[in-house]
Amino acid sequence: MKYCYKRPTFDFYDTVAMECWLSDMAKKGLLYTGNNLVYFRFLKAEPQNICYRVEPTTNDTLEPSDEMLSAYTDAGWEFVTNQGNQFFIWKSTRPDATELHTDPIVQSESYHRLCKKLTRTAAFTGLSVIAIFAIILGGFLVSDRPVTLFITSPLYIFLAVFELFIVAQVVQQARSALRIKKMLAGGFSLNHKKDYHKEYRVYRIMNVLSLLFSIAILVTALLTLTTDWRKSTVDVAEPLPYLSLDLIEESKEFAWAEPAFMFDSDIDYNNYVDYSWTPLVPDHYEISQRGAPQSHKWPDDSGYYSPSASTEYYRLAFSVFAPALFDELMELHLWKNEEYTIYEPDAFDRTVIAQDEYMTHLFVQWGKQVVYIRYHGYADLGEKLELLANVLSSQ
Amino acid sequence: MGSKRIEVVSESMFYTLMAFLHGEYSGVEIASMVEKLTKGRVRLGPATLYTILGRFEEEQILMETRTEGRKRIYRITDKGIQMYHDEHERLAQCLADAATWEEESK
Repeated sequence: MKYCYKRPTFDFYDTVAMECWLSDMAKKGLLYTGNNLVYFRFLKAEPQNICYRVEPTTNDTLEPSDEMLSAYTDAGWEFVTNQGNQFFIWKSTRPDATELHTDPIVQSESYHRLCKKLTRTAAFTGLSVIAIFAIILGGFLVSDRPVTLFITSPLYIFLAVFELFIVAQVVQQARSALRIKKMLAGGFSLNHKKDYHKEYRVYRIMNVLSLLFSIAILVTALLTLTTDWRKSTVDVAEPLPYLSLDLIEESKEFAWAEPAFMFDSDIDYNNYVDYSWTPLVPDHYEISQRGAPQSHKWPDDSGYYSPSASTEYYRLAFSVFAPALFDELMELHLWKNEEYTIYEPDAFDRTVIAQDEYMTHLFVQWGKQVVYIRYHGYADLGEKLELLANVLSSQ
Repeated sequence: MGSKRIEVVSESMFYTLMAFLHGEYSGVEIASMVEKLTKGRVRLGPATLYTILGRFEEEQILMETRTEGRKRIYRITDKGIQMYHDEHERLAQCLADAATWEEESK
Protein backbone atom coordinates (compact mmCIF):
# COMPACT_ATOMS: atom_id res chain seq x y z
CA MET A 1 0.00 0.00 0.00
CA LYS A 2 1.33 3.38 -0.99
CA TYR A 3 0.62 6.53 0.96
CA CYS A 4 1.16 10.17 0.22
CA TYR A 5 1.04 13.17 2.52
CA LYS A 6 -0.57 16.51 1.84
CA ARG A 7 -1.22 19.70 3.72
CA PRO A 8 -4.58 21.46 3.43
CA THR A 9 -4.36 24.87 1.83
CA PHE A 10 -7.28 26.26 3.80
CA ASP A 11 -8.24 26.66 7.40
CA PHE A 12 -8.33 23.29 9.17
CA TYR A 13 -11.50 24.30 11.05
CA ASP A 14 -13.53 25.15 7.99
CA THR A 15 -15.23 21.76 8.06
CA VAL A 16 -17.08 22.30 4.78
CA ALA A 17 -13.85 23.15 2.93
CA MET A 18 -12.31 20.06 4.51
CA GLU A 19 -15.14 17.81 3.27
CA CYS A 20 -14.82 19.21 -0.27
CA TRP A 21 -11.05 18.82 -0.24
CA LEU A 22 -11.19 15.19 0.94
CA SER A 23 -13.76 14.40 -1.78
CA ASP A 24 -11.57 16.10 -4.40
CA MET A 25 -8.60 14.03 -3.24
CA ALA A 26 -10.68 10.81 -3.54
CA LYS A 27 -11.56 11.78 -7.12
CA LYS A 28 -7.79 11.90 -7.76
CA GLY A 29 -7.37 8.44 -6.23
CA LEU A 30 -6.15 9.61 -2.82
CA LEU A 31 -8.21 8.18 0.04
CA TYR A 32 -7.94 9.97 3.36
CA THR A 33 -6.82 7.75 6.24
CA GLY A 34 -5.74 10.14 9.01
CA ASN A 35 -3.62 13.13 9.87
CA ASN A 36 -1.39 14.82 12.38
CA LEU A 37 -1.24 18.56 13.06
CA VAL A 38 0.67 19.25 9.85
CA TYR A 39 0.03 16.58 7.23
CA PHE A 40 -2.91 14.50 6.03
CA ARG A 41 -2.22 10.92 5.00
CA PHE A 42 -3.81 9.50 1.85
CA LEU A 43 -3.84 5.96 0.53
CA LYS A 44 -3.16 5.77 -3.21
CA ALA A 45 -6.02 3.92 -4.94
CA GLU A 46 -8.37 4.10 -7.92
CA PRO A 47 -10.21 7.43 -8.27
CA GLN A 48 -13.57 7.26 -6.48
CA ASN A 49 -16.59 9.40 -5.70
CA ILE A 50 -16.63 9.57 -1.93
CA CYS A 51 -18.68 11.93 0.16
CA TYR A 52 -17.05 13.03 3.43
CA ARG A 53 -18.56 14.59 6.51
CA VAL A 54 -16.53 16.27 9.25
CA GLU A 55 -18.53 16.17 12.46
CA PRO A 56 -17.49 18.12 15.58
CA THR A 57 -17.57 15.80 18.59
CA THR A 58 -19.88 16.69 21.45
CA ASN A 59 -17.70 15.22 24.18
CA ASP A 60 -14.09 14.16 24.77
CA THR A 61 -14.42 10.63 23.35
CA LEU A 62 -11.99 9.59 20.63
CA GLU A 63 -14.34 7.09 18.97
CA PRO A 64 -18.07 7.01 18.32
CA SER A 65 -20.10 4.71 20.58
CA ASP A 66 -21.24 1.34 19.22
CA GLU A 67 -24.81 2.59 19.12
CA MET A 68 -23.80 5.67 17.15
CA LEU A 69 -21.64 3.60 14.82
CA SER A 70 -24.53 1.26 14.14
CA ALA A 71 -26.99 4.12 13.46
CA TYR A 72 -24.53 5.87 11.10
CA THR A 73 -23.80 2.59 9.29
CA ASP A 74 -27.54 1.99 8.83
CA ALA A 75 -27.76 5.46 7.32
CA GLY A 76 -24.98 4.60 4.83
CA TRP A 77 -21.92 6.10 6.53
CA GLU A 78 -18.59 4.57 7.48
CA PHE A 79 -16.35 5.89 10.24
CA VAL A 80 -12.92 6.91 8.86
CA THR A 81 -11.03 8.34 11.81
CA ASN A 82 -11.04 10.97 14.50
CA GLN A 83 -9.11 14.24 14.47
CA GLY A 84 -8.08 14.38 18.11
CA ASN A 85 -11.17 14.75 20.25
CA GLN A 86 -12.48 17.51 18.01
CA PHE A 87 -13.85 15.80 14.91
CA PHE A 88 -15.14 12.45 13.68
CA ILE A 89 -14.66 11.91 9.96
CA TRP A 90 -17.30 9.89 8.12
CA LYS A 91 -17.45 8.80 4.52
CA SER A 92 -20.08 7.38 2.20
CA THR A 93 -20.05 6.02 -1.33
CA ARG A 94 -23.80 5.35 -1.35
CA PRO A 95 -25.92 7.84 -3.32
CA ASP A 96 -28.93 6.90 -1.13
CA ALA A 97 -27.15 7.61 2.17
CA THR A 98 -29.21 9.69 4.60
CA GLU A 99 -27.66 13.10 5.21
CA LEU A 100 -26.09 13.06 8.68
CA HIS A 101 -27.72 16.30 9.70
CA THR A 102 -31.29 17.06 8.78
CA ASP A 103 -31.77 20.09 11.04
CA PRO A 104 -29.35 23.07 10.80
CA ILE A 105 -30.36 24.41 14.21
CA VAL A 106 -29.47 21.11 15.88
CA GLN A 107 -26.28 20.99 13.80
CA SER A 108 -25.31 24.42 15.14
CA GLU A 109 -25.50 22.89 18.64
CA SER A 110 -22.84 20.37 17.57
CA TYR A 111 -20.45 23.30 16.95
CA HIS A 112 -21.08 24.75 20.39
CA ARG A 113 -18.27 22.89 22.19
CA LEU A 114 -15.77 23.37 19.35
CA CYS A 115 -16.43 27.12 19.09
CA LYS A 116 -16.03 27.53 22.82
CA LYS A 117 -12.69 25.71 22.76
CA LEU A 118 -11.38 27.68 19.77
CA THR A 119 -12.51 31.01 21.22
CA ARG A 120 -10.69 30.21 24.46
CA THR A 121 -7.56 29.19 22.55
CA ALA A 122 -7.64 32.41 20.50
CA ALA A 123 -8.09 34.52 23.64
CA PHE A 124 -5.30 32.70 25.50
CA THR A 125 -2.91 32.95 22.53
CA GLY A 126 -3.75 36.62 22.08
CA LEU A 127 -3.06 37.36 25.75
CA SER A 128 0.20 35.36 25.63
CA VAL A 129 1.38 37.36 22.63
CA ILE A 130 0.45 40.64 24.33
CA ALA A 131 2.51 39.49 27.35
CA ILE A 132 5.47 38.57 25.11
CA PHE A 133 5.23 41.93 23.33
CA ALA A 134 5.07 43.71 26.68
CA ILE A 135 8.21 41.91 27.87
CA ILE A 136 10.09 42.72 24.65
CA LEU A 137 8.86 46.31 24.61
CA GLY A 138 9.73 46.62 28.32
CA GLY A 139 13.25 45.44 27.52
CA PHE A 140 13.62 48.17 24.92
CA LEU A 141 12.05 50.82 27.12
CA VAL A 142 14.32 50.18 30.10
CA SER A 143 17.41 49.85 27.93
CA ASP A 144 19.80 52.81 27.64
CA ARG A 145 20.61 51.65 24.12
CA PRO A 146 17.34 50.51 22.50
CA VAL A 147 18.65 50.85 18.92
CA THR A 148 21.79 48.88 19.73
CA LEU A 149 19.68 46.22 21.43
CA PHE A 150 17.34 46.11 18.44
CA ILE A 151 20.01 45.73 15.78
CA THR A 152 22.17 43.29 17.72
CA SER A 153 19.29 41.09 19.01
CA PRO A 154 16.68 41.06 16.21
CA LEU A 155 15.62 37.50 16.99
CA TYR A 156 13.27 38.83 19.67
CA ILE A 157 11.50 40.95 17.09
CA PHE A 158 11.35 38.08 14.60
CA LEU A 159 9.84 35.81 17.25
CA ALA A 160 7.29 38.46 18.16
CA VAL A 161 6.25 38.79 14.51
CA PHE A 162 6.06 35.01 14.25
CA GLU A 163 3.75 35.02 17.27
CA LEU A 164 1.51 37.41 15.34
CA PHE A 165 1.20 34.83 12.56
CA ILE A 166 0.13 32.27 15.16
CA VAL A 167 -2.47 34.63 16.60
CA ALA A 168 -3.80 35.31 13.10
CA GLN A 169 -4.09 31.57 12.56
CA VAL A 170 -5.96 30.76 15.79
CA VAL A 171 -8.28 33.72 15.28
CA GLN A 172 -8.96 32.49 11.75
CA GLN A 173 -9.76 29.00 13.13
CA ALA A 174 -12.22 30.38 15.68
CA ARG A 175 -13.80 32.61 13.02
CA SER A 176 -14.26 29.68 10.63
CA ALA A 177 -16.06 27.55 13.21
CA LEU A 178 -18.12 30.46 14.55
CA ARG A 179 -19.17 31.45 11.02
CA ILE A 180 -20.45 27.94 10.34
CA LYS A 181 -22.24 27.78 13.70
CA LYS A 182 -23.88 31.17 13.15
CA MET A 183 -25.07 30.21 9.69
CA LEU A 184 -26.57 26.96 10.97
CA ALA A 185 -28.18 28.65 13.97
CA GLY A 186 -29.86 31.00 11.49
CA GLY A 187 -31.53 27.96 9.93
CA PHE A 188 -29.31 27.76 6.84
CA SER A 189 -28.05 24.33 5.82
CA LEU A 190 -24.40 23.90 4.84
CA ASN A 191 -23.50 23.97 1.18
CA HIS A 192 -21.30 20.91 0.85
CA LYS A 193 -19.97 22.04 -2.54
CA LYS A 194 -17.65 24.89 -1.72
CA ASP A 195 -15.03 26.70 -3.81
CA TYR A 196 -12.34 26.62 -1.13
CA HIS A 197 -9.57 27.40 -3.67
CA LYS A 198 -10.91 30.89 -4.27
CA GLU A 199 -11.92 31.64 -0.69
CA TYR A 200 -8.57 30.78 0.84
CA ARG A 201 -6.22 32.64 -1.50
CA VAL A 202 -5.16 35.10 1.26
CA TYR A 203 -4.88 32.24 3.75
CA ARG A 204 -2.45 30.42 1.45
CA ILE A 205 -0.32 33.57 1.05
CA MET A 206 -0.25 33.94 4.84
CA ASN A 207 0.78 30.31 5.18
CA VAL A 208 3.66 30.73 2.72
CA LEU A 209 4.78 33.93 4.47
CA SER A 210 4.62 32.18 7.84
CA LEU A 211 6.72 29.32 6.46
CA LEU A 212 9.30 31.69 4.96
CA PHE A 213 9.44 33.61 8.21
CA SER A 214 10.00 30.41 10.20
CA ILE A 215 12.88 29.51 7.88
CA ALA A 216 14.31 33.02 8.23
CA ILE A 217 14.20 32.75 12.04
CA LEU A 218 15.88 29.35 11.95
CA VAL A 219 18.62 30.47 9.55
CA THR A 220 19.19 33.67 11.54
CA ALA A 221 19.44 31.72 14.79
CA LEU A 222 21.88 29.24 13.23
CA LEU A 223 24.03 31.96 11.66
CA THR A 224 24.07 33.96 14.88
CA LEU A 225 25.17 30.91 16.83
CA THR A 226 27.75 29.71 14.34
CA THR A 227 29.34 32.90 13.03
CA ASP A 228 30.39 34.50 16.33
CA TRP A 229 34.02 34.11 17.27
CA ARG A 230 36.74 35.46 19.57
CA LYS A 231 40.40 35.26 18.55
CA SER A 232 43.77 36.69 19.48
CA THR A 233 44.45 39.58 17.11
CA VAL A 234 47.55 37.86 15.72
CA ASP A 235 45.41 34.88 14.71
CA VAL A 236 43.00 36.95 12.59
CA ALA A 237 43.94 36.69 8.93
CA GLU A 238 41.46 39.15 7.40
CA PRO A 239 42.01 42.93 7.53
CA LEU A 240 40.33 44.37 10.60
CA PRO A 241 38.36 47.66 10.66
CA TYR A 242 40.46 49.44 13.25
CA LEU A 243 43.42 51.69 13.84
CA SER A 244 46.22 49.46 14.97
CA LEU A 245 47.83 50.74 18.17
CA ASP A 246 51.34 50.73 16.64
CA LEU A 247 50.09 53.00 13.83
CA ILE A 248 48.49 55.34 16.37
CA GLU A 249 51.62 55.49 18.50
CA GLU A 250 54.20 55.81 15.67
CA SER A 251 56.92 55.31 18.26
CA LYS A 252 60.05 53.22 18.04
CA GLU A 253 59.63 52.34 21.64
CA PHE A 254 56.15 50.85 21.09
CA ALA A 255 55.80 47.13 21.64
CA TRP A 256 52.76 44.96 22.07
CA ALA A 257 51.95 43.81 25.61
CA GLU A 258 52.95 40.30 26.50
CA PRO A 259 50.14 37.84 25.71
CA ALA A 260 47.86 37.23 28.68
CA PHE A 261 46.14 33.85 28.58
CA MET A 262 43.33 33.17 31.02
CA PHE A 263 42.66 29.68 32.32
CA ASP A 264 43.13 27.14 29.53
CA SER A 265 42.15 29.57 26.80
CA ASP A 266 44.54 30.17 23.90
CA ILE A 267 43.25 33.71 23.46
CA ASP A 268 45.53 36.62 24.28
CA TYR A 269 43.27 38.81 26.39
CA ASN A 270 45.60 41.79 25.93
CA ASN A 271 45.04 41.81 22.17
CA TYR A 272 41.94 40.09 20.92
CA VAL A 273 38.98 40.46 18.59
CA ASP A 274 35.30 39.61 19.05
CA TYR A 275 33.16 39.17 15.96
CA SER A 276 29.41 38.75 15.71
CA TRP A 277 26.79 38.75 13.01
CA THR A 278 23.14 39.65 12.96
CA PRO A 279 20.96 40.41 9.93
CA LEU A 280 20.91 44.10 10.81
CA VAL A 281 24.62 44.26 11.71
CA PRO A 282 26.38 41.96 9.25
CA ASP A 283 29.78 42.89 10.73
CA HIS A 284 30.29 43.77 14.35
CA TYR A 285 33.82 43.80 15.74
CA GLU A 286 35.05 44.63 19.22
CA ILE A 287 38.82 44.90 19.22
CA SER A 288 40.95 45.28 22.32
CA GLN A 289 44.60 46.40 22.06
CA ARG A 290 47.25 46.89 24.69
CA GLY A 291 50.86 48.04 24.41
CA ALA A 292 53.70 47.03 26.67
CA PRO A 293 54.82 49.44 29.43
CA GLN A 294 57.51 51.77 28.12
CA SER A 295 60.53 53.29 29.80
CA HIS A 296 58.90 56.60 30.77
CA LYS A 297 56.07 57.16 33.22
CA TRP A 298 52.64 58.82 32.89
CA PRO A 299 52.79 62.49 33.98
CA ASP A 300 50.79 61.76 37.16
CA ASP A 301 53.39 59.16 38.07
CA SER A 302 50.74 56.44 38.08
CA GLY A 303 53.01 53.94 36.39
CA TYR A 304 54.90 53.37 33.16
CA TYR A 305 53.32 54.64 29.97
CA SER A 306 51.37 51.77 28.35
CA PRO A 307 48.93 52.80 25.57
CA SER A 308 45.73 50.88 24.94
CA ALA A 309 42.74 51.09 22.65
CA SER A 310 39.30 49.55 22.37
CA THR A 311 37.39 49.66 19.12
CA GLU A 312 33.74 48.99 18.43
CA TYR A 313 32.97 48.67 14.74
CA TYR A 314 29.50 48.26 13.27
CA ARG A 315 28.74 47.74 9.60
CA LEU A 316 24.97 48.05 9.41
CA ALA A 317 22.63 46.53 6.87
CA PHE A 318 20.71 49.81 6.69
CA SER A 319 22.25 53.25 7.18
CA VAL A 320 19.01 54.48 8.76
CA PHE A 321 20.14 53.03 12.11
CA ALA A 322 23.57 54.70 11.98
CA PRO A 323 22.76 58.15 13.49
CA ALA A 324 20.86 56.62 16.44
CA LEU A 325 23.64 54.09 17.05
CA PHE A 326 26.19 56.91 16.93
CA ASP A 327 24.21 58.91 19.53
CA GLU A 328 23.80 55.85 21.77
CA LEU A 329 27.55 55.14 21.67
CA MET A 330 28.25 58.74 22.69
CA GLU A 331 25.62 58.53 25.44
CA LEU A 332 27.17 55.30 26.73
CA HIS A 333 30.84 56.23 26.61
CA LEU A 334 30.85 59.91 27.54
CA TRP A 335 30.04 60.30 31.20
CA LYS A 336 27.85 63.22 32.15
CA ASN A 337 29.90 64.32 35.18
CA GLU A 338 33.20 64.32 33.26
CA GLU A 339 34.55 67.39 31.54
CA TYR A 340 35.70 66.67 28.02
CA THR A 341 37.24 68.80 25.33
CA ILE A 342 34.91 68.04 22.47
CA TYR A 343 35.33 68.97 18.83
CA GLU A 344 33.78 67.80 15.61
CA PRO A 345 36.26 67.60 12.71
CA ASP A 346 34.86 67.88 9.21
CA ALA A 347 35.42 64.25 8.33
CA PHE A 348 33.24 61.31 7.34
CA ASP A 349 29.46 61.89 7.73
CA ARG A 350 29.91 62.76 11.35
CA THR A 351 32.92 62.73 13.63
CA VAL A 352 33.16 63.63 17.30
CA ILE A 353 36.36 63.61 19.33
CA ALA A 354 36.16 63.95 23.09
CA GLN A 355 39.35 64.25 25.12
CA ASP A 356 39.86 63.92 28.81
CA GLU A 357 43.58 64.22 29.70
CA TYR A 358 45.12 61.13 28.09
CA MET A 359 41.86 59.41 27.20
CA THR A 360 40.44 60.08 23.74
CA HIS A 361 37.01 58.99 22.53
CA LEU A 362 36.56 59.01 18.77
CA PHE A 363 33.09 58.51 17.27
CA VAL A 364 32.72 58.15 13.51
CA GLN A 365 29.72 57.57 11.26
CA TRP A 366 30.35 56.96 7.60
CA GLY A 367 27.47 55.60 5.54
CA LYS A 368 26.55 52.25 7.07
CA GLN A 369 29.69 52.16 9.22
CA VAL A 370 29.81 53.37 12.81
CA VAL A 371 33.04 53.26 14.79
CA TYR A 372 33.91 54.08 18.34
CA ILE A 373 37.54 54.10 19.51
CA ARG A 374 38.59 54.66 23.10
CA TYR A 375 42.30 55.37 23.16
CA HIS A 376 44.46 55.81 26.23
CA GLY A 377 47.75 57.44 25.28
CA TYR A 378 49.49 60.58 24.07
CA ALA A 379 48.69 60.43 20.33
CA ASP A 380 46.16 62.77 18.71
CA LEU A 381 43.43 60.69 17.06
CA GLY A 382 42.33 63.78 15.13
CA GLU A 383 45.47 63.36 13.04
CA LYS A 384 44.66 59.74 12.27
CA LEU A 385 41.34 60.29 10.53
CA GLU A 386 42.79 59.88 7.03
CA LEU A 387 44.34 56.62 8.11
CA LEU A 388 40.98 55.52 9.50
CA ALA A 389 39.28 56.54 6.24
CA ASN A 390 41.66 54.25 4.33
CA VAL A 391 40.84 51.38 6.68
CA LEU A 392 37.06 51.92 6.51
CA SER A 393 36.97 52.39 2.74
CA SER A 394 38.50 48.94 2.32
CA GLN A 395 35.69 47.30 4.34
CA MET B 1 -17.52 21.99 30.43
CA GLY B 2 -20.38 24.40 31.12
CA SER B 3 -22.96 24.68 28.37
CA LYS B 4 -25.23 27.29 26.90
CA ARG B 5 -28.99 26.77 27.34
CA ILE B 6 -30.90 25.63 24.31
CA GLU B 7 -32.53 28.83 23.07
CA VAL B 8 -34.45 27.60 20.04
CA VAL B 9 -36.52 24.42 20.00
CA SER B 10 -36.32 23.26 16.42
CA GLU B 11 -38.81 20.99 14.69
CA SER B 12 -36.57 17.94 15.22
CA MET B 13 -36.20 18.74 18.90
CA PHE B 14 -39.94 19.24 19.33
CA TYR B 15 -40.78 15.89 17.73
CA THR B 16 -38.11 14.18 19.80
CA LEU B 17 -39.66 15.59 22.98
CA MET B 18 -43.09 14.56 21.73
CA ALA B 19 -41.96 11.00 21.03
CA PHE B 20 -40.57 10.60 24.54
CA LEU B 21 -43.92 11.53 26.11
CA HIS B 22 -45.01 7.96 25.50
CA GLY B 23 -42.23 6.28 27.50
CA GLU B 24 -38.60 5.20 27.46
CA TYR B 25 -36.88 4.71 24.12
CA SER B 26 -33.53 4.39 22.40
CA GLY B 27 -32.32 6.85 19.78
CA VAL B 28 -33.10 4.55 16.86
CA GLU B 29 -36.65 3.98 18.10
CA ILE B 30 -37.18 7.72 18.41
CA ALA B 31 -35.96 8.30 14.85
CA SER B 32 -38.39 5.75 13.42
CA MET B 33 -41.26 7.03 15.61
CA VAL B 34 -40.75 10.59 14.38
CA GLU B 35 -40.62 9.46 10.77
CA LYS B 36 -43.80 7.42 11.23
CA LEU B 37 -45.58 10.18 13.16
CA THR B 38 -44.85 12.75 10.46
CA LYS B 39 -45.43 10.28 7.61
CA GLY B 40 -41.84 10.75 6.47
CA ARG B 41 -41.97 14.56 6.43
CA VAL B 42 -39.48 14.86 9.30
CA ARG B 43 -36.50 12.54 9.22
CA LEU B 44 -33.83 12.64 11.86
CA GLY B 45 -30.39 12.14 10.36
CA PRO B 46 -28.12 10.12 12.66
CA ALA B 47 -25.94 13.12 13.55
CA THR B 48 -28.99 15.28 14.23
CA LEU B 49 -30.45 12.53 16.43
CA TYR B 50 -27.29 12.01 18.49
CA THR B 51 -26.65 15.74 18.82
CA ILE B 52 -30.18 16.17 20.19
CA LEU B 53 -29.80 13.26 22.60
CA GLY B 54 -26.38 14.49 23.74
CA ARG B 55 -27.50 18.09 24.29
CA PHE B 56 -30.80 17.04 25.93
CA GLU B 57 -28.97 14.77 28.32
CA GLU B 58 -26.47 17.56 29.09
CA GLU B 59 -29.36 19.93 29.81
CA GLN B 60 -31.17 17.27 31.88
CA ILE B 61 -34.09 17.30 29.48
CA LEU B 62 -33.59 13.58 29.02
CA MET B 63 -31.91 11.06 31.28
CA GLU B 64 -30.48 7.67 30.52
CA THR B 65 -32.29 4.93 32.39
CA ARG B 66 -30.50 1.78 31.20
CA THR B 67 -28.65 0.15 28.32
CA GLU B 68 -29.89 -2.74 26.21
CA GLY B 69 -26.92 -4.19 24.36
CA ARG B 70 -25.54 -1.30 22.31
CA LYS B 71 -28.62 0.84 22.86
CA ARG B 72 -28.92 3.51 25.49
CA ILE B 73 -32.47 3.98 26.72
CA TYR B 74 -33.67 7.43 27.77
CA ARG B 75 -36.71 8.91 29.43
CA ILE B 76 -37.94 12.48 29.46
CA THR B 77 -37.50 14.49 32.70
CA ASP B 78 -39.95 16.98 34.25
CA LYS B 79 -37.82 19.75 32.74
CA GLY B 80 -38.24 18.10 29.34
CA ILE B 81 -42.01 17.79 29.75
CA GLN B 82 -42.21 21.45 30.72
CA MET B 83 -40.08 22.34 27.69
CA TYR B 84 -42.46 20.38 25.45
CA HIS B 85 -45.55 22.08 26.89
CA ASP B 86 -43.98 25.55 26.60
CA GLU B 87 -43.16 24.94 22.95
CA HIS B 88 -46.58 23.37 22.34
CA GLU B 89 -48.22 26.45 23.80
CA ARG B 90 -46.08 28.76 21.68
CA LEU B 91 -46.89 26.85 18.51
CA ALA B 92 -50.60 26.74 19.42
CA GLN B 93 -50.51 30.48 19.96
CA CYS B 94 -48.88 30.90 16.54
CA LEU B 95 -51.66 28.85 14.92
CA ALA B 96 -54.33 30.76 16.85
CA ASP B 97 -52.81 34.07 15.72
CA ALA B 98 -52.72 32.82 12.15
CA ALA B 99 -56.37 31.75 12.35
CA THR B 100 -57.44 35.11 13.78
CA TRP B 101 -55.53 36.97 11.11
CA GLU B 102 -56.95 34.84 8.31
CA GLU B 103 -60.47 35.34 9.75
CA GLU B 104 -59.99 39.11 9.86
CA SER B 105 -58.63 39.14 6.32
CA LYS B 106 -61.82 37.64 4.90
